[in-house]
Amino acid sequence: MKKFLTWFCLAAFLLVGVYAAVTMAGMPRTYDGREANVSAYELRRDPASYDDSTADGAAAAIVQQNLDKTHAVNDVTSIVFDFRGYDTMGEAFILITAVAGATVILFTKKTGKKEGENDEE
Amino acid sequence: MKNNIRVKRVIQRCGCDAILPLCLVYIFYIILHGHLSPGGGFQGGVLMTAVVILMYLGHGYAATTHALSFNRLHGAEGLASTAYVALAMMGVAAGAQFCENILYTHGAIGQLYSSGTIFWMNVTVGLKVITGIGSITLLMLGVLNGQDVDNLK
Repeated sequence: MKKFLTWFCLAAFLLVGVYAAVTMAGMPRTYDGREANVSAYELRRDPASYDDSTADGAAAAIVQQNLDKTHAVNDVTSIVFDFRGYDTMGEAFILITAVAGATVILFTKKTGKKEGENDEE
Repeated sequence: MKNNIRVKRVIQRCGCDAILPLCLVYIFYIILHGHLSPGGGFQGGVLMTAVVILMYLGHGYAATTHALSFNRLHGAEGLASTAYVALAMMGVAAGAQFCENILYTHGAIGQLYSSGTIFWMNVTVGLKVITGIGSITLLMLGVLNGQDVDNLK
């Protein structure tokens, strides 16, 4: 039963991956600034035209773009979880690898220190 | 003082019991407000180390392994990572790119439930880091107490 479940899950993941690859192959690019409703595309093509005399100049443009695209107030979280979500997925998978590696490394040798338990209750 | 060590243990246990629920509430505050204020899933989940170590300092190794199960934490970690990938695949299923935010019109700007998949990805990554860091800390406490890997349930 457990073996069947393992192979079933692996086959499901493989099918989902193939579906994603086939679906995403013919998709257009996202977030290249062409459909921005603030003048970010023109700003990128002609940076000297932008009014940056006040302190909030470029920051206001960034915050406004972010609010229009994601509705999230915190810009850093929206970059980490939306614009670079693929990167975050890899970062999160590092942790599983770390747990597996720590299990293997810490328990290869049996530590014979049985009398050192300080269980109080 | 004759009972000095026992008094110290009572003080330690009471202090840990006082701080531990505050730590748990703080973890969930940071994770749930990740899209509104500084913080997020990674930063909130790492605080689970403090919770496990407070449990260990206050009540000892047996009570910690009685409260937290290593296998269950490890299973929840895999479940959370699968949920993250499923949330990211929602974009592909809806005709957009991988990890694209397709629910972002839910809720008003500044509300607790807003910004669509960013909120849910925060929750899944927070669960994943909580369980991963908790299981690593349990492993280290097990080595500190000379346990074998078979005894970690």
